[in-house]
Amino acid sequence: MTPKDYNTCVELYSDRLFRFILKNMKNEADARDVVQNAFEILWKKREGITPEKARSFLFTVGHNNMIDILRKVKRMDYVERIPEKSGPSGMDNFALKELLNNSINQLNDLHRSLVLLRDYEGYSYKEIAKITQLTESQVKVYIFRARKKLQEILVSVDRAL
Amino acid sequence: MNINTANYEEYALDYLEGSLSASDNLAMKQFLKKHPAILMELEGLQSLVLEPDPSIVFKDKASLKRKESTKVIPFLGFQKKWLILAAAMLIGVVCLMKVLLPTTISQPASYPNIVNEEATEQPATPKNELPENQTPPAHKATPKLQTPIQPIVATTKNQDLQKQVVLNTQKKQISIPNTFKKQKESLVKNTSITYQTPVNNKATPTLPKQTPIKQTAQPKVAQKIPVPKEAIAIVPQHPTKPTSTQENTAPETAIAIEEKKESPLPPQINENANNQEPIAMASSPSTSKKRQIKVSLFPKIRKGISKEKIKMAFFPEAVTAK
Repeated sequence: MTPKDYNTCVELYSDRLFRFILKNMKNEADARDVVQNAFEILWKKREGITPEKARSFLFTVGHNNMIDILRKVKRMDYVERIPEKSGPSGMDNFALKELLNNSINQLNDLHRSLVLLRDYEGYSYKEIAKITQLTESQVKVYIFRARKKLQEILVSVDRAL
Repeated sequence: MNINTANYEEYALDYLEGSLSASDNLAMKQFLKKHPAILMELEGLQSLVLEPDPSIVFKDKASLKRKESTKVIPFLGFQKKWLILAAAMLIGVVCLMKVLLPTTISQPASYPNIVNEEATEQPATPKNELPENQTPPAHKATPKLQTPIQPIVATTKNQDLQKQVVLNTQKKQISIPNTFKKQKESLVKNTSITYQTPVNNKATPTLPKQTPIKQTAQPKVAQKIPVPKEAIAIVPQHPTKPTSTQENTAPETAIAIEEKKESPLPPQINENANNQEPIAMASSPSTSKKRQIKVSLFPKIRKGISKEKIKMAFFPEAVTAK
């Protein structure tokens, strides 16, 4: 990978990686650190990485780093959560998306990251399995359970309204 | 494929996305017919797809970007090594030239010793080479010395000058100790071969007149310089090797260099030379001093040469008769 390819990767994947990490970590500073760390490692190992594999590499490094940080944060019991909005004003399409984005925070870390990788990044199950170091069947099962969880959340909110 | 309640989660997403194979899709439909509750779950999941929030962006993209750093070739360092190597080689060559040049030019000075040793080992000289009638008794030993003397004669054009140079050097070495001391002191100061004695213009015109050698008397030996007894021991240039043009070039060049480089000599040396040796006046003083300098480099050789040894070496018959 040339420096030009690396800069192209920054343009293409920095926002998406930051979005994925921020949704999982709920801390902007930590998410920025993870993104910077991932791109730093990509730069160091650019000689052995092709531009086609850069995206997968970034998300793998970012996911692993994020998991490490989340474990540390949980032990320290220090989590700065993203301020959640008060709630959906209506159940229109925009409101449903907003509710869905907020309800994802109620998923556990593994389910959240898997759903984000699948929905945000459009990774195949095989690629997600590679990133998260799980089997493809596990990925499918976890994502299915995560969606069921989200459905339950939305149904509960709808009932509350 | 058997789909049941334990493994249906693995196929549920593929069923919703329509990526199942035909056989798996049929098996999944048969399973959902048996479990309508699960079918209800799946219908609601199709719409649960998260969409990314485009408002969330990484602001410091510039901090992530890297500039294309041009590879810096350590040209200076690479060049430095070669420069150092070249300088070292140059210094080495210069030192070698300084060391080797004087030795090659002054090499003839060491020959007398070799001649002396060989002369002692092989004192007998064949008389058959030259007829007795044509050569005087003093020159009977000259056939033995054909090889040492021949190089000078074969290479130099001015035979008269060479003869006198030879004579002058021999006379000075043997009979002029005062000049030798002075020249030895001067040699210590200037060890290089370029130190030369001045050209005595007055002495050179008398060169052909004062030479006692007559070339006409020895037509065959004329090509090989007939040298008196005293001169024979030191002058021979290549005693061990036979005559060859390549080997003779060294003495010729040495003499040529000596003749070119001339420096003024203190007048005392010339005076001493004139007083003690009339032959020295006739010959060029530059060459004579040069010979003395070379000999002084090898004091042991000079000590080893004596008249008795020379006579014994080249004229054993005369010595034994006495």
